[in-house]
Amino acid sequence: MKDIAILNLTRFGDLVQTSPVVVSLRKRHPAAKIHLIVKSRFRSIAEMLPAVDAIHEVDGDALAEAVTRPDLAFADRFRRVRDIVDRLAEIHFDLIFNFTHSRASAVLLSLLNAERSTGFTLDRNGQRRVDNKWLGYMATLVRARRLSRFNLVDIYLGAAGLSGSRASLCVNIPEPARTFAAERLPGPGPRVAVQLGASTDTKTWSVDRFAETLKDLTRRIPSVRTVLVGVAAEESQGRKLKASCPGVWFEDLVGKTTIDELAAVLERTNLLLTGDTGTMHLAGAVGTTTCSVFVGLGTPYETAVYAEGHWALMSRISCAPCGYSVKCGHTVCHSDIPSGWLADFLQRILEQKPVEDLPALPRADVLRTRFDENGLLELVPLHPREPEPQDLLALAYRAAFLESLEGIPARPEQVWQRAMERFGIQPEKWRHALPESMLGQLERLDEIARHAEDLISGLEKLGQQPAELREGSKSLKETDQAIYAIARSEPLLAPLGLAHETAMEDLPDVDLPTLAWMSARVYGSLRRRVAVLREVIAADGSLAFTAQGETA
Amino acid sequence: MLHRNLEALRRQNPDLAGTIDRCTPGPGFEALSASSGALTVRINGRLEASAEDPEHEAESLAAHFLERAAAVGATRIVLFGMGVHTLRFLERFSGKLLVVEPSVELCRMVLERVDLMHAFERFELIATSDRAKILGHPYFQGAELGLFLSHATARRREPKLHDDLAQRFHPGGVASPLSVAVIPPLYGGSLPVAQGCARALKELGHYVRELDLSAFWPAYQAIQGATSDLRLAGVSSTLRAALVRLIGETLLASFQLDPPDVVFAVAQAPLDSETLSRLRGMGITRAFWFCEDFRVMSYWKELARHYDTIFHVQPDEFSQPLREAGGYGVPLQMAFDPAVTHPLELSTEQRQRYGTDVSFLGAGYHNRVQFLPALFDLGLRIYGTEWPEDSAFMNVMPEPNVRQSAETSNLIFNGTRIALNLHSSPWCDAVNPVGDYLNPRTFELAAAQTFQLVDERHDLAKALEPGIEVETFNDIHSCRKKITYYLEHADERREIAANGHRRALAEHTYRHRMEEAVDALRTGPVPLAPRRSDLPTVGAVLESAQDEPELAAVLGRLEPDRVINSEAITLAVVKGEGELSREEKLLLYMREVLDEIQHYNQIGQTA
Repeated sequence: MKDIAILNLTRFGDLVQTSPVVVSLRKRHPAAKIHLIVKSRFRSIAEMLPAVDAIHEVDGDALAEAVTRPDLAFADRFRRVRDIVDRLAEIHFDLIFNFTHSRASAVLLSLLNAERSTGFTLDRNGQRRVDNKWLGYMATLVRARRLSRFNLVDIYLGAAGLSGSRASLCVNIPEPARTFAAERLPGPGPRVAVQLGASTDTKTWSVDRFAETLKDLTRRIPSVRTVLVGVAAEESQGRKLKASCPGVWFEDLVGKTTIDELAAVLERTNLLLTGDTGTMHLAGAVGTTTCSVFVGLGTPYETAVYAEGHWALMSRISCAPCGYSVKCGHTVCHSDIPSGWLADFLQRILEQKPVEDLPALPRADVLRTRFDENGLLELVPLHPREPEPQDLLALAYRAAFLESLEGIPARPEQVWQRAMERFGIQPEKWRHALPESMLGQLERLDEIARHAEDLISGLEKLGQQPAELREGSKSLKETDQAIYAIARSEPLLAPLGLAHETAMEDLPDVDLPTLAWMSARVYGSLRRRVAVLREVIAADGSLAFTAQGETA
Repeated sequence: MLHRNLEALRRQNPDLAGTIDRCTPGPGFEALSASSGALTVRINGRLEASAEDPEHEAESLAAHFLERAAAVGATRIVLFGMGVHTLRFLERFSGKLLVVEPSVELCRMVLERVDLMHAFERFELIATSDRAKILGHPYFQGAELGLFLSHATARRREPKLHDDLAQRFHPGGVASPLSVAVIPPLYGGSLPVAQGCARALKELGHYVRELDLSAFWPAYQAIQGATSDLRLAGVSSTLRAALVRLIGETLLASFQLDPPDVVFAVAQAPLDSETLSRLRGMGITRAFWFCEDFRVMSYWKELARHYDTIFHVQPDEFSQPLREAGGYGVPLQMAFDPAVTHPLELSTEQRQRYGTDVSFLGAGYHNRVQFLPALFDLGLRIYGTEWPEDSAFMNVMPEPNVRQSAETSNLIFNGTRIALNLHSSPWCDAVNPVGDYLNPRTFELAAAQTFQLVDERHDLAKALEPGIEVETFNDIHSCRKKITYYLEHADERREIAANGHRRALAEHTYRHRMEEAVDALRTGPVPLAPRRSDLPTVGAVLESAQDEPELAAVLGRLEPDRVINSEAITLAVVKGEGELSREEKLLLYMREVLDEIQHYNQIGQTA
């Protein structure tokens, strides 16, 4: 493998989150040339990632101009787009990982010159498909986010076959940037960096709450220095914050740093207070502790800093996190993080004092990052609390999906132990903490999937009899509809239905025997996940734990 | 230098030359010597041109402008800001160039020191910040391919003026097609108006989306049926509002992927303020043809400020109240659709069915019910709906209370010797003494070349000349008298009908109105987004892409008049066979990039 590329046309934060993959790829393939294909706008952050040998740009602005400029004839637009693509297509890659969750990237990938590619791709009919288990999981569970417990970096690593590598976020900081930071932030701290804005309004904690927190923190630690960071578009928020915080000492660097200077500034601070932002990942990459307030669309289970010892706060309100299509007009989740409590918490982190004796927040979770026994990031609540059904099932799903994605056997006792630590629930109490009908629904799912397996087995025996094949195919479709109906009727079972649907849709266009064999594996995977869930839920031993099934 | 420049300028614009001659730049205007020795200018502390080598800078800038013009084949350029030396280097441009410089003082300073005599022989200069005056220049109305270019310094000085002008400049010229979504009512008299508008806009070369909302009509009827008891009036109103909301959401969804330039709604179109606001948010121009009597129908008050332009049929009386309600009004008379209404030779059977001396087609409004019985003895036949049941009207109605189609209406018009037209009024007993607007029937009867006897209207003479192209009455006596006279004088009757027909064809088709409307939208106070104003059709692209046979092969799967948008690209690709070709993938990539940009625009991020 000589030339390996990662196609990541996402944003600043996602690129920082690509760094563990790049570093792990370098370890796995020391002689390979590692390429990164990024949007031109984010080249500067790509240049900071270690172990990258070549950066290739997709000029998003030029593309946008090409497809939208009114005075350009359509044929000229076509030519411009082709020129942009052709420049990239001149480069030969042995393998491209497409981490970009967009149809545009899948089409672009199909136009590039690669021996092999994986991730979000295009089939020969022009339909987007995901030919990678981990990225398939990502594309699927986006519709059941409250039950998903895998960090995006683990998904990237898994997609690249590097799961469990324990590589943390990392960036290189050039010396001139460090000099800049030393000049702007001379003398002793403690320093708290604050990033006010986020990529969308729904992920942005209000300036008033930042202000209350910082005022309180300054009362507690008068020597604390607040370093405002962010892009120029956030200057007005910065001005508002400063006007609301008389007595707080600010070093305002909003709009005044390049990306590497920002990294160096973060490196010189003791703590970053932020929302779910790219700056958060950058701080994690330079080893600065972060405390992130996840509101609206953001969930730390997906995007907490990929390193140990970082903190994320998140409301437990039933609508959190927002769905992707939601435009919330009543952001009550913002008020679930009390600023007084947060100031106390930040003080203790800055003073390296224990935080465990802080009172539990009534409507929010305080979560700390750590790597689990498999080298995957997980979030551990600071305070145990009563579990909601989705808290328990999310643990079970993590085990079940990890088994099908990585072949790591699901161990109910580990799931129960985590539930004990976090929610104080005994294994035999699981059944009662979940909807009464759930075990019955799982049993029904298993029956249906088993029936599907039988149908496929019958099809294989039929050979190429068209009429029977048509009939069998129709029966299989009905079987799938029955599976989806159960998964739709119980949101807690949605991941089973969604994963099955994606797997069926992503079956490749191959000969019938191969297709039958692959379909059987998909049903087998569903049955195996169902079995794991049933075993974990029925901890009282009423169900025998089935032997580990085949993994898809 | 100044005098020579002014002499040259005087030949094209003597007023401006005089203004510049009299002008004395204030203290904020400084003429400086750049490092190269050439003139540079500072206005209120900011440089208008380089302090190092402004001539070299101007040469590069002009080359860039020319390159852009050549790239799109522009034959007219509007250049915002004159720069200091730029014009000297633009002399190579062979097309039309209009220079718009907001500052007379800057003009004076440049003309004092830079030789622009040759430039003024080739190009026009306007020195004003008066937006209306600039927009009145023909270059803003030009039909040729053009470019709007600007000096960054001038843009900085006058950002709002710049943006206004840039938005109002149509790169494809005024002939460039618009994408227009015509929104009809669910049902009723304005439905054929909407159909006529859509047809006319298509004839004019615009890309028209004719939305069929008839599927919602049964729901509307169901609501009416379920809440017909007067005690449920409040519920009825709430439910109807909910239905209009639903229709609005449906329309908005249908515009998500391919938003039109303009939404053109016709009277009674089910668009509420929420939908209209969100259309605005999508950058869509909202126009409404309120072809009803504003004194009778009052719903316009609530919607006035949510439309960018309201076309209406009452130029004298309605403008003021419309302004007060926050609306911008443009008078637009009713019209007819020649595809539907035209002279016709009736078959024997049709003549037996529709042939008559005097007829009236219309709904049974109050004044008509009061007025028309006095004509029953003259052989009047009435067609239309909402006439009193169990009354004498039933005796003169061959098809009592049946809604007549446009086609049948045309047969009725053509079958009658004298067609009566009495404008409706809910409060007068006969002819409305202050009747101003003209109903569609006025134009349809003329279009069918039918002799029309119409009640006197304030604005009638502007459309059809009484006594020449149409005949009028003002009370029952004059009406009876003229019916009798013209039944006896067939030649005069035929001549007036023929005159009316000629005038109608020459001036009163929906095509004429839509030309006026589009023109008004393009020059009105709310600029049309130029972004979508020149949607390419397959045919046009195929012509310009003859050197791209693979691309042409893919697009050639579509009809030539189809506009190329995301939907069309998908269709072209779907029509192909086998594995996707590189061109198909590239087209899909264009589509996806465009969709991504639209998505990010909607969620307020950059792609």
